[in-house]
Amino acid sequence: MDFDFNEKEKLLFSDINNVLKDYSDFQDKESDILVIRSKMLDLIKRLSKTDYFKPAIDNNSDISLTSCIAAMEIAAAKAMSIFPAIELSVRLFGYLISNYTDNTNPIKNDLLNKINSGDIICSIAVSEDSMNIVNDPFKTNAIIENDNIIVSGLKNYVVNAPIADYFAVFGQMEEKIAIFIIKKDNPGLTINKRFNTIGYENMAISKIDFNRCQISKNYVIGPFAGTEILDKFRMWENLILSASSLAMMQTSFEEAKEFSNVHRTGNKPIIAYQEIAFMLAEMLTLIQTARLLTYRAAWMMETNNKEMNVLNHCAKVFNAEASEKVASMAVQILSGKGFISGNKSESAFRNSKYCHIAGTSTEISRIKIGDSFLRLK
Amino acid sequence: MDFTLTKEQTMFKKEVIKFAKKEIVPRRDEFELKSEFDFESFKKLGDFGILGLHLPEKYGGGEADVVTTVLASEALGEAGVDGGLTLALGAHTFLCADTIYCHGTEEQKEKYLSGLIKGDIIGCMGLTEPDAGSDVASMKTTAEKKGNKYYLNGSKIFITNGPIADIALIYAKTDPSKQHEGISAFIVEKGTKGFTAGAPLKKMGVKTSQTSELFFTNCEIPQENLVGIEQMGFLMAMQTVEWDRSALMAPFIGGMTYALTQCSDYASKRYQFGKPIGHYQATKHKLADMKIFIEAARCLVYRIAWCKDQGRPLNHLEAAIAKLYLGDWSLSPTNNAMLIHGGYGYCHEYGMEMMFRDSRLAPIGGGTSDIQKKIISKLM
Repeated sequence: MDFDFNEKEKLLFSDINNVLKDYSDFQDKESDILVIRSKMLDLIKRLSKTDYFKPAIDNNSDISLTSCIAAMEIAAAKAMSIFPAIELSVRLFGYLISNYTDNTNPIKNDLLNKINSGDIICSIAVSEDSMNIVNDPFKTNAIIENDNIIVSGLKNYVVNAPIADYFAVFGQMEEKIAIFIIKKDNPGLTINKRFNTIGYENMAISKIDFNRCQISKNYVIGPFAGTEILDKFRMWENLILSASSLAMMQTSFEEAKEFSNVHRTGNKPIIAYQEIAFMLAEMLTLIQTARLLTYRAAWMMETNNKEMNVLNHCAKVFNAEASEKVASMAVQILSGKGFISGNKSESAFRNSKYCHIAGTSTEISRIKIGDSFLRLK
Repeated sequence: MDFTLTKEQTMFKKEVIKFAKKEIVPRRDEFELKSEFDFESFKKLGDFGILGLHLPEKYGGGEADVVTTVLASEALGEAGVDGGLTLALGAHTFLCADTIYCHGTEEQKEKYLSGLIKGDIIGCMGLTEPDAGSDVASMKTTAEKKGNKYYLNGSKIFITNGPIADIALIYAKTDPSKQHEGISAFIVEKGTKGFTAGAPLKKMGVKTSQTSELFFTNCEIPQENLVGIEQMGFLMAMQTVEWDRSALMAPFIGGMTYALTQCSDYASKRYQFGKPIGHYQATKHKLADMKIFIEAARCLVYRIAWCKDQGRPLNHLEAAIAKLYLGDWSLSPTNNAMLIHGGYGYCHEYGMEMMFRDSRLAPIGGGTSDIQKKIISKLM
C-alpha cells in the first residue's frame, strides 16, 4: 500500500502547472464558437507539450491512472469552463482510436498525430433521444452498400459538435456496437443550433443528424459483440467527470475560505463564526474523501480489479453529489456575492449538474452498484 | 499510489473473519439482549492474538503493522461481531495497553502487557469527566503527590470497560493550576482502596460494552504507577487519536460491509408484488449508498493507518476528517440497512436495528463531530 505520488508523477504535475501558468479561462459566456475553438486548441497544444494526455491514448505510457486523476484535477481547475470538452476531444477520442483501431488502418496514426498536436477538435456522439443506452439500444444505424458504410441516425447533447472536425459516432452495425468516424464536411451531416445550458456554458453542445452519411470501412471501429467498448468508454468518462468535480470542489472551497477570512461582520471575519467555520470543515471533509475514493477507483481500473466497475460508479456518484453540495455551501458562504454571476463557486454550482447527468448518470450508477450485490434471477 | 494489500494481509483478514464467525458471532445476540459483556469471547480474542496484534512479541503481541491491525478490526465487524465487543477491544488495546507500551516503564510493561495481550486482565482508559468532555483540559480529577505516593480524587464518566476493568489508565491533574500541561497518567488497579467503579450505564447501543463512572476518593497509588513523566498526560492521550481514527473506526466499516451482505441477501429473497425487492430501484439505490459510504470511509481509514506505518507524525487534519465523515455520514447507511429489512429490520433478529443503535455513537464518542469540525476549521 502506498498513498504517495512518486517523483516522476510530481514532475508531471509541475510540468502541467508550468504550461498553464499564463492560461486564463473564460470569465463569461462566449457566444462566438470560433473563439471557443481557438481557446480549446490553445489549451490542447499547451497540455500536449507534457505527458498529460498519454494515459488512455498511449498504451506504453507509464503514468499511473491515479496520477492522471491528479493531473486532470490541475487542468480542470485552470480551465474549468471547457475541461470536459477538452478531455472528450483528445483523451477519449484518442482512447477509442488508439485502443480499438487496427494498427494497419491508415487513419489511426493520422488521427492520433492530429489529436496529439492540437490541430483538430473531436467530438463523441453517444446519447440519443432516450438518453439511456442501458435500456434502449442505439437507433443510429449503419448498413453496408457497395463497400461503403451508410450511417443514419440522430444524436443529442453532443459536446463539441458545433466546432468539431471529426465525430466518433456510437451506433449499431450488424446488430453489434460500432463506432463511425465521420468528418465534419460529410454531406449527410447536419449540426443543429448550439444549446444554451445552465452550466459549462462555454462548451459547444448541440444535436446532430446523420442522413445517410457515407464513410469508408477504414472509418469504422468494430463492430463488437457485447458492450465492453461502451462500458470502458463510460468508465473513462466517469473518471474525467470525477476529476472535474474534484477541481470544482477545491476551487469553490478556496474561494469561500478566502472570502470568509476577509469579509467581516460584527467586527470580525466571518470565519470566526462557528456556522461558517463548520461549513468549511464539512466541505473539506467531502473533498478529501472524494479525492481518495477517486484515486482508489482509478487504481482499481488500472489493475483490472474485479470491483473496478463498482468503484468507478461509487466515485462518480460521490463526486457529482459532493461537488453540488460543496459548491452550494460555497455560494451560501459568499452570500449575496455568491448569488451574482461571475464567481467560481456559482459556476461550479451550475456545472456540477453536468457531472450528475453526463457519463453514467447518478441514477444508473446507483442501479449498477446495487445490481453488483444482488443475485437476482 | 498503490492500494494493494499483501497476500499475508488478505489471508489474515480472511482468517479473522472465519474465527469470529465461528467463535464470537454465535454468542452475540444472547449477550446483546442481556446487555452483558461476553468475557468468554473477549478471552478468545486474546487467545487468537487480536488483543495485542501490534504489540511486541516480547510481551506476547503479534508485532503486526498498523494496516494489518486495522484490517483485523475491520474483519471483526465484517464477520458480524457487535459494536460493543469491538469497542471494548478498542479501549482495552489501543487506549490502555498501547499507552502503557508507548510510555510505560519496563516494569509496568512487564507487569501488565502480557496479561492485557492475552485477555487475562481487562484494561480501560479514564479521561472524560462529568464536566469535562470535549473540553478535556478542564478536568477536575487531581493526583496529589505526597512522599512516594499519589492520591487521586475525582471521578470519570462514560468509561468503556469501567465496570469490568482490572486496570485503569487514569488521566488526572498533578498541577491543577494548568490546563493541558497539568495532566498526568496513572495506572490504577481494581481493588485499590479509594477506587470504585459505578454500575454499568444503560445505553442506546453498543450494549455489550460495559460503561460506567469511576470514582476516586483519596485513592492511594504508588509513584511507580505514574505512566511516563508528569504533565505529559495530555500528549499521551492525543497519541491514541491515531488508533482512534483507524483501528477503532475500522470495525464499523466492517460492520457496514456485513450489513450490506445481509441486505443484499434479504433483498434477493424477499418477494413483494411478485418480485424480489432487490428488483426495485429504491432498494438498489439504498444498497448503492451503503457501498459508497463503505468505500469512501475505507480509503480515509487505510490512509491514516498507512501513514502511521510510515512513521509520519499524525496529520490531525486528516484524522479529524476521517472521524467526521464516519461519524456524520454513517447514520444514513445504517438507516437504509434497517429500511431494506422493513419490519424485520425493526426487530432484533436481523441485527440491523442493533447496528443502527450502535452507529449513533459514531458522531459522539472519541471526539464529537462538532469538535472534529472545530479542529478541521482551525487547521485548514
